[in-house]
Amino acid sequence: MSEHFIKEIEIKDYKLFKDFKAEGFGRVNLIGGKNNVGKTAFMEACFLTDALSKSSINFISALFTVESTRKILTDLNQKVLYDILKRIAPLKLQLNNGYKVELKYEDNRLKLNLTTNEETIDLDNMGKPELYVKLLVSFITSNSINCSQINTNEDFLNILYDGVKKLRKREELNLIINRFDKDIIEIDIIENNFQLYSKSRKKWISITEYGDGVKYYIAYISAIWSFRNNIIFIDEIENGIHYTNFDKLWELILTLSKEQNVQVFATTHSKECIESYARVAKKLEDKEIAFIEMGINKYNKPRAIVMDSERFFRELETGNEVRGW
Amino acid sequence: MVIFIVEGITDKEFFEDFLNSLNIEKTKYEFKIFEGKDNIFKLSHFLYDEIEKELDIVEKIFIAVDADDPKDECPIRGYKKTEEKLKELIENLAFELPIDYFIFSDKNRETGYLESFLLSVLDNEQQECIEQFRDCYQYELNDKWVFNSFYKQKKYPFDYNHPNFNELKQKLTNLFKEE
Repeated sequence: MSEHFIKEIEIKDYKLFKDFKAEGFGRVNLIGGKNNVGKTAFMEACFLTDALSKSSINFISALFTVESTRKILTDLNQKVLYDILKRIAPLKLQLNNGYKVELKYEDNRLKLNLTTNEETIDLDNMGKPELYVKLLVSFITSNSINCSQINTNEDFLNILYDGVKKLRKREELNLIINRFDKDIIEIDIIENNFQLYSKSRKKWISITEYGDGVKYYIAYISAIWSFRNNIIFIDEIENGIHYTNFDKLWELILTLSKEQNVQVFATTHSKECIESYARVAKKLEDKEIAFIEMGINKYNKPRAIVMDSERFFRELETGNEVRGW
Repeated sequence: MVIFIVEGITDKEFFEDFLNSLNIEKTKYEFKIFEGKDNIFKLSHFLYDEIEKELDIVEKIFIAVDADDPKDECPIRGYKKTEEKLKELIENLAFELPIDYFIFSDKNRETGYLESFLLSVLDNEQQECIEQFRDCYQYELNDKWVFNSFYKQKKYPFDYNHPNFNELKQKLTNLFKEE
């Protein structure tokens, strides 16, 4: 397993996690559990951890991504946020729009300087650091393309597709998508629109006319290529994918993630998706996988059981429920 | 979460069916299959390590083993010896949570297996039939063979209201009783 992969995590005071630890993650990690046990929050924490390990701008972009998708900043413990900012300071950012941001921690105080008004804002005195983080991230919006939390909005697909083109993998993508849907023989961006060529209709059709399955498929494959030697996060991986296509999806994710050295974290509620994951990993003899079962323990705290491939296969063979307790 | 410690897949299948008859939800329990009685008595078994690491999600433990027959090769044979060893095991495990057990045996509570326990609830006509077959066959037939040859394919056609199931039923009802 690569050095840059997340192998363990400790989460304190983040959403429902007060003092949480989990270890033994694999290259590909599927997370299961009942509703409201913290699956998505756990993945967000991994996402933020990964971003923080790269650079300050990645971290702030990640914060922005998480905030814009889940509005978490309001829930985020202010002290933790303040500590994180202290940790990433000093920080100097030159943004595309010409603005400059400088974050300093001096004389036991956090200071934020935005070049728009030359004003130095003392976060300690203002008492509400989360407002300034929001301000800060809003400056970074234009730079927030380093997002590895996969979604299927068209802008994000366009960014991913650019990555595919740069890597000269368009033909390969066409072949893979054709295996998923025999009617699609080519993909391209035409007149700024993501379009798919339909064999039966003999014309280009906008991706918006297709079901979510195709979009997710393109997004996952392109993301793995675009985020080579990196980590990607997929919430509710079963979305839009018919269960008869799960094996094809996992075969691709397991094969490509190995080839591109990408760590994957994904959540699911689907039993068929979990069974397919196990079946395909077993077939490919991929031992670098893990299954993370999440739930709430006897003391009302979030808890994760991280199963390596051996235990995961055994639990499924025994017929034990792995989607939480 | 209740953990069932069992010897093998047949025990698991029986408990699943029996618990289902008691309307116990499948999400409330899990099985740890130790692949044999001897393994259950090995404190160093990796499945005990697994349980120990997850005691914060385990409410109770239930161990089910066969009494076995003195003729078997297993070192812990017979109801009494098995019960002694089980008590010793529970003490040595030192898990601070309720642990109960059940030993499968014949109706005399001396020797036997899950299969003997199940055969003990057959009606008189079936019992006589088996006895006659045993006499006629001349060679020794253990309960596992009889059960698997004549009854398994019908997948437990047993009446769980038979009084022989009462003790186990009571134990399991207590196990899943809300504290």
